This record gives sequence, structure tokens and C-alpha cells, in this order.
Amino acid sequence: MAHNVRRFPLATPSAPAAADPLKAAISLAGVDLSFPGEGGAVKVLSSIDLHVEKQEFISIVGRSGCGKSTLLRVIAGLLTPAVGDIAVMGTSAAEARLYRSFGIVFQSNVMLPWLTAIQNVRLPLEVVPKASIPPRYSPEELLKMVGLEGQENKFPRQLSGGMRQRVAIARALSFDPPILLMDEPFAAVDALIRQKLHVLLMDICARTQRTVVFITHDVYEAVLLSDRVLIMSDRPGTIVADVKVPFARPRHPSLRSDPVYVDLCSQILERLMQE
Amino acid sequence: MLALLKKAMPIALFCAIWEAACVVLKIPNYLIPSPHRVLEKIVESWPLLYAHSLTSVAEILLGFVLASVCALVCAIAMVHSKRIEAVLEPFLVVSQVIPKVALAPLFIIWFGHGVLPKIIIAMMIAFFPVLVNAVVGLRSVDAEIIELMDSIAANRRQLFWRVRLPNSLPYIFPALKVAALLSIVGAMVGEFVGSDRGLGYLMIIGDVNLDTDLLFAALVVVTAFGMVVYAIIEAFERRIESRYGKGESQQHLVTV
Repeated sequence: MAHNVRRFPLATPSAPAAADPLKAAISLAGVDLSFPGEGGAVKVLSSIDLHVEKQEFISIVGRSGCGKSTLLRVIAGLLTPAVGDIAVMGTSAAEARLYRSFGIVFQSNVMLPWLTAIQNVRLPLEVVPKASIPPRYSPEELLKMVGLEGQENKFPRQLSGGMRQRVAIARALSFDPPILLMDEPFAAVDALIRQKLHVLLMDICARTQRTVVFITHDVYEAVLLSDRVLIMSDRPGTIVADVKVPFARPRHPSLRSDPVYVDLCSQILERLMQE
Repeated sequence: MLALLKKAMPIALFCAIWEAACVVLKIPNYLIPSPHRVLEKIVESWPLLYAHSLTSVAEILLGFVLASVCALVCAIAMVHSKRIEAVLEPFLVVSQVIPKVALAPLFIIWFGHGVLPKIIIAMMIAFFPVLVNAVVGLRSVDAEIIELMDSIAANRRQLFWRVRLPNSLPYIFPALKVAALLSIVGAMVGEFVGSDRGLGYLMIIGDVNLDTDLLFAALVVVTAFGMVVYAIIEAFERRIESRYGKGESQQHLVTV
């Protein structure tokens, strides 16, 4: 053993008693969700309590099928839970959508194939009537920010998977939402491009101060990017641990070789294995 | 231009062989007139052919346009409402099973010898492929795209105009090509059954008088017209393809 293995407190999630749901970016209390299945309803999410501060970057890690993507859809108001309270920027999930409180990046970099990159980025702006405060960045500027200058008029089929995912990020940022919800956004791109996208995402967060909820099954990615990592258990999905990442942001990808980072990752992995 | 020439080459070759066969085998005109004889006939009886083709063209185009419009409206209604779909579906199945060509005599009895029964027959034959393809095209939107539109708070109308309709275009255009050709069939059948005008009527006249030249001449004119309509729709289709990716639309034809 070259160095002492540091043990990090893998605290069970604290009850959000002190937390004010109106001040938080996202606040979930006692959320239960079931899907109808053969032989009765299947419980997918069980008593989820989640509290995300403004400008906090949190990751939710868990095995495939543990309900982490479902949880993101609940936050986005795409699924409505039977039990529990949800507040997003102090409003209900459905209102938050209309108030443009969040942008989503889906895993599959879904895009309208008949629209060009720039038209896809503009789509959310065209769907919802103009906001009183215009977004800080134009679609052109956003595409530039994600490194797609000169690709504006290409169709999705002419772009690589990594490029499409960048367009999807630019689209999620198009109406300048305070919150960015990301559902395993980099799962489908290769390792090299994923690292580039990590740098890009960290850069965007540093520049534009957003709250991010990041779903992933990659623990290393989660620790590199987030202020907090939440560990989710399987069936029914519930948050079993809440880990603070002790590195200040902005971070550098070289953090990957930091022994503290490595220890923290292996400890979270270990915890995930127990589930 | 060169591409067009290349496309015309096999047909030119075919005509040459046909011409040669007529001369060498001494095939009588009343059986198969040679291509140059058909061409001569078209030139010499052009006023007649022209007058009659106006009637047929009107029937075909009206039948085609009405069929397409009705099919699109029905498709939109069916996709929009489950109840409308439930009411329409049995009628559509029955109307597809009935051989529409066999209804031609009935329409002649009901609507007389004018253009109306031909338009109706053309319309009935052309209607179904457009309907089926439009319904499939409007429906087969990726669930992920619907979720995306949902996540940006798009309403039903926006989902229709921004997603469903553009999604259906690669399905609809190949169906329109088929429908255009079917409406020609419909109009011709209508004219065969009972008429005093039109290219189909000329073909019957050519037939009973053993004027095979005239029959062929009318056939060439109606074929040429069909090719023009086909080319126009294909030009539109190519513009769609430039947006959607090549070959995309060909894959989508639901055969009826």
C-alpha cells in the first residue's frame, strides 16, 4: 500500500428538514413512483428525498435499470409520481417546464432529422413564446461554445455521435435555463470524445453557473464532474448514500490521477457493488 | 440532360427492335403498328387526340388531387382521434376489399356518361395508398422525439406541425406517385365502361374499328402524360430527400 486509504463518509442522505424547497433549485420529498406491470404495479422509485442547491452539480449513479433515468423524468415533469412533493426552482415540475427552468440532454442525442444543427438548437425557442428576458447566448453562440462552429447547417445524419451530443447540449441551453438535466449524456460516445465532452461541460458550467443533475453509471465521470454523488439502489430505486466530493471547481481532467480521487471512486464503486 | 438521354436509351433501343420486327416479320398494322406508324398517326390525328386528352387529363388530375386531399384529411383525423379511427376503419377495410374497378358500371348508372363518374372512380382507386402511408407516417414518430417535444413544453398543435407532418412526408410522396398512376387507371376504366369523350373512349373506338394505330396513339399519349405527372412528383420527392437523406423515402412505401 503506497498511501493510506482515506475513508470518506458515505452518509445516508440527510432528511431535508432544514432545507427550504422554495430556495433550492430542485427539491423532492417522499417521491414514490410505480409502473403498471403484469401481476400488479411495479414500484420503481421509493421514498426519494433529493435536495439540490442552486449552482450545485450533482450526479446520480446506479446500476442500469435502477430507476435513475426515471428519477430524472420525474424532476422534468415527464412522469408524475403518485406520492410525494416536487419543487423545481420553487414551482411544480409542470410549471418549471413552461417557465423554462431546465433543459434536458437525453442519452440518445435525439434530434429532428429534417432540421439542421442550428434549427434543432432553435427548436425550444420556437416552441415556447418569447421570454421577457432574452437568453444570454444566441443559438449561434451556443454552437460555437460547444465547438461546432461551421457545422450549423449540417443535418444530424451528417454529424458524428459526439457532435450530435454537443448539439443536444447546445439545444438544452438554448433558452438559458438555470438547471441542466442530463441523462447519461455521454454513454454512447467513445472514451476519447467523452473526455473532451467532460472538459466542455465543466467549461460551460464554470462560465454560465448552472445547476446540473447528471445521471450516469460511470463513477469516475460522476466524481470528476460533481459536487455531490448520490448512489441509487435497485428495485425499487432509492437513494442510499450521499457523497460530498472534496474538490473545488473548476477542476482539471488531471484530477483523474489524484490519489484522493482514485480512492473516492473505488469506495463509491464498492458501495455500488453491495447494492 | 445527359442523364435523361441515358434513361431514354433502352426505350429507344426497344423501339428500334420493334420497328425492325414489324418490317422483317411483316406484322400487319391492325395487329401491331410499327413505332413510326404510331408517331405518324399521333401527328395526323393530333387535334382529335388533343381534344380527347383534355377530358382525360381533367378527370385524372381531379381524381388524384381529390383523393390525396381526402386521404390526408382522413389520416390526420384518424391520428388525431381514436374515436374517428374506430368509426372510419371498418369502412376503409371494406372499401379496400371491394374491387373498385368493378363499381365503374354502377357509377355510370348513377352519374351518367360525363366526367363525374370517372373522377369518382379515379379518386376511389387512388385514395387508399395515400391514406395508409399518411397514417403510418404521421404515427411512426420516435417515442424519443415525442418525449423531447414534451420536455420543451410543445403542445399538440406544435407536435403536429413540427414533428408529425414533416415525419410523414417521406411516407406520403412515394404513395402520391402510386396514387397518380392509379388515378390514370381509374379514369381509363371509367371511360371504357361508358363515355363519349376521353382517351379511353378513343381506344374503344380504335378497337371496334380495328384502327389499331389510333389505339396505340392514344396509349402513347396517356403514357406520356403519366410520365410527366410522375416526374413532377418525383422532383418534389427529391427536394424532400435533400432534407431527409437519400433513399429515405423509398424505404417507406407501405404497399397496399
